[in-house]
Amino acid sequence: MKVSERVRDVLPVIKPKRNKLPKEIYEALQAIVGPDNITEDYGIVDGYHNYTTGQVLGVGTMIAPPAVVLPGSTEEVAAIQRVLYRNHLKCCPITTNYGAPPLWGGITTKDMIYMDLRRMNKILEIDTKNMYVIVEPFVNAAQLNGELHKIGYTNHCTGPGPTISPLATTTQGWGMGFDSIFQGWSGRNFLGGEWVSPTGEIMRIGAPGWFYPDSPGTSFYGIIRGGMGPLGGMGTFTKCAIKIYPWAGQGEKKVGDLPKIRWEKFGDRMKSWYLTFPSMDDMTEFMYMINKAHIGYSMDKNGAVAAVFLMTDSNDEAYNMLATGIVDESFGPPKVNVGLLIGAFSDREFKYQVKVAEEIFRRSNASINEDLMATYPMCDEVIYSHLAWNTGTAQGVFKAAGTFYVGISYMDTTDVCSIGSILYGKMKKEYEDRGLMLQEGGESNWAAYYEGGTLGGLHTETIWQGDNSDLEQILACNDLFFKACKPWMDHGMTPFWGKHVGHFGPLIGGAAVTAYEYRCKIKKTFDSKNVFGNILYALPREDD
Amino acid sequence: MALQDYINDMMRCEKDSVCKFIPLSIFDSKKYSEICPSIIRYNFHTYSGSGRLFHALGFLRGRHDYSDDMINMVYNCQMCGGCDVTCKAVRDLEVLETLIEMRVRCVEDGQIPDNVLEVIDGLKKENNMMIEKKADRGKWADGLKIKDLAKEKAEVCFHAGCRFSYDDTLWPTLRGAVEVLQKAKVDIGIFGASENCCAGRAYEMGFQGELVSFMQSNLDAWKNAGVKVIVTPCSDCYAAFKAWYSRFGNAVEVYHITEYIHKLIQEGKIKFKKSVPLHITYHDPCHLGRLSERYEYSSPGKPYIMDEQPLAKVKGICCVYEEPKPWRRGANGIYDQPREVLKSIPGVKLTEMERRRSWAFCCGAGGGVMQSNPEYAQSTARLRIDEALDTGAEALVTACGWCERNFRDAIKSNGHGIEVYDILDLVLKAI
Repeated sequence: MKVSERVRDVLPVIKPKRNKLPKEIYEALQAIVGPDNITEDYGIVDGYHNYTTGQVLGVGTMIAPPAVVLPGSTEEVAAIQRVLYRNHLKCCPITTNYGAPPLWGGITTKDMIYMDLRRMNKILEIDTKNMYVIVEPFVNAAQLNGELHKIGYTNHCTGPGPTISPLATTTQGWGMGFDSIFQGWSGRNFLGGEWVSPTGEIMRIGAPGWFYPDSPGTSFYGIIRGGMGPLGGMGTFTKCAIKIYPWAGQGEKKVGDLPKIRWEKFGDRMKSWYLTFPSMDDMTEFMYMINKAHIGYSMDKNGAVAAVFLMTDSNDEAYNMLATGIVDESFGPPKVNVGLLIGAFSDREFKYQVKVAEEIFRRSNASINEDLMATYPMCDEVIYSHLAWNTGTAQGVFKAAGTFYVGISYMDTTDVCSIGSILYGKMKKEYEDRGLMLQEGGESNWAAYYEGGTLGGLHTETIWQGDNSDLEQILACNDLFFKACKPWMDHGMTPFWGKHVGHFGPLIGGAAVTAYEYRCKIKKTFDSKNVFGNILYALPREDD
Repeated sequence: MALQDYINDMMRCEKDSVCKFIPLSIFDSKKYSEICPSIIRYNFHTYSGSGRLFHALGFLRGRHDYSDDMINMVYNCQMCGGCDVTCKAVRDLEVLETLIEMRVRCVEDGQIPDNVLEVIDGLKKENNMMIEKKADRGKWADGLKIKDLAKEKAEVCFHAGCRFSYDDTLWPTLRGAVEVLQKAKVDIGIFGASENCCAGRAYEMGFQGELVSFMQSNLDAWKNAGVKVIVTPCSDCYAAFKAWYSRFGNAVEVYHITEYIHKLIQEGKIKFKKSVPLHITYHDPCHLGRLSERYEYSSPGKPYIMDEQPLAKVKGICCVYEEPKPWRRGANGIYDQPREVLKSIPGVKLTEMERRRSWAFCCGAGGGVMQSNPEYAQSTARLRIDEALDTGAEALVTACGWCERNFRDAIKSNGHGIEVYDILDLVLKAI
């Protein structure tokens, strides 16, 4: 069957009713940003529309915004929000657009205006003495780290890779990455910010200067940032001070053209391994030992099939590699794989870390995957670039079907997360066996370890891929997401969305107990018209 | 191929914005970290590669129809391929193919900007993209002793291309190139007034029928004249002959003049005698670099017809086609030969720009933008000239008449202080 016929069959033409902005509101917005920075032409706004992932969650299908505005400053953001709030219009600020829209940052209702923050793209300050940067929303992790690496520093980058916005990830509750073992997760690196409330008031958090003292309990920052993304928070962050860390990659040399950039030389004090463990228990022990030893610069657990897609430049190449049977024979389930990168700041420390790491490998039954090295000689370089630079990470893996869905995830102790991975993997495998998801033997739970053992924590996400053009697969993803919530809570764990649920409140909000109740009241106070965060933040209630 | 045959690519875009930026692994500075001239200028996501995929999907789904803004968006893109190679550095989507097919669809539906139509009318009537008379095409060669391929046979056809043939400021370069080749005893000829347009630029403007028709005329003319090899100083023509013609099933042996001169230097047939003391930077033309990769298949000679191939399911999802896709990711463009020619000229000091080789920034002239929106073409050129100036170079050297003209126009309108040369100019100075 031809591609075009096949796609046409499964996804019917949908012509949504368009919500057109009243003329006076459009003119008011245009007066703020100028005529070049607002559009309601459907041929242009349709480039912002979202699909499929929204269908997975049962929200937001085939919706494009009635208009898109491009503010160029905090004052313009505030003025826009005042107009929208006054007129009961929903608003969704977006940065680099990434994030499986509309999961975190997409249109969910027909009257939601997109506020594209692309014009706010400056690195305002790099303070190496106090180790922080101040950035605007559209600066991406590549731009920031590209500048920081040159002067010996680096910034936490989340799993999706260098095109994410550090401001967007830092100002939300989540945001793990492979470097989290050294740099913590995104929310931990928040030092201060400039925030525009839903009603359009500008507030600076962090005093004196850009430093904001985090403390136990629910902080003001926690209240406004919400859980994740603009759909899980309130208002718009327009500036953010983020903690930075020393970069250990000095001495690297790269050559070649896209897509084959080669690392002729790794960092002088960096070394990476791709390790295979006989079982999840061995890997869990390994994580605890790494924690105790306080070593490591970047580390992640990745599924074997996912690793094949990561290591190859095209689906054709991945297909050939999978056809060799290497995954099943060498490192597929029940085996578990982890990439580890050591980064040190003196020769002595480097030698120490390598020695300790190798001893931990021995004690935890880790082995270097010789088969993989032989099949794919560039494995070393890919793992190095994956861990040191986070290049092509999620994008590389998700080229298989083009998109991904994040199911149950958790930040907890290593044991809890490992149990969760197994539990959810079993559920996922049923769908895989029915041909409804990428078949990974129940794997594809990626995990990143964080905070060098301060909390003894691991973050796991169960990620799966379905074919976006296949309605049956999309519906299967939806099915799995909701089915998985219940057993997860039966095991005493809070679902990924649990703490911040809005749209999902009736189903899983109960797991968050009083936090959820509290959030509803907060929402009523700051955003009683529910202009922001209408699916992943608690909703305002009349009786509060 | 038709627009709907890329629907799978449209649906597999994750809006991750990799199409807008230079990948981190080859990144030098924030200042020069963006690769898409269109999103830089117009800011709305729809102007990026990703936005254009979503837009095309919406169009096919019937969610929107043609409008002035939509047509402007479709045509305000240089088709430089920057989005395509940066996307393919991590993903496996055919971004540029989709963009071209969107224009093909616009042409089929008669939705064409007036100034584009004017250029294409000129092409149909006068065989060139310059809105000039066909009879004047060979004027650049007046007085040169060279075989006329309309009457004689030669092994090598020197194809001047529309820009070089009608832009008289480029004629000294063109005539010099012919003399260099003749001195190296290359058996060359030209078609002069009967030379046809390559139609590559017309194709990138959506006129696929014109490409196929001009391709056939060119293939016939070369065959009749006994031509085995094509040499051209024009990067647009080079990409058309090498990439676009192969896309429609015809492999042509073609060299860009810099490639051919490099070959002659290697063979000892060209030697530089004079020093050219000049600090330069080199601009990789998109059509000589990332856009010049041939479509090569596992089945030689098989045309690129993906829509007739069923999807293969790998591990339960669709991800590959039965016939593997051609490997076109920018890595196999012509990058080293121009640099080696420049480095072999005594006195020349080459300092690279940050965006170079397969991730070079466009000059702004491509995809018909120079014709349809010259102001936008020049504003893009100014961004590139700023980057060249930041290297400290005295001169910006390129290997394409379109780039050179656009840079010169931008300098004239904005007063930037940098000289612009074709590589050939420096070669001629050094011989």
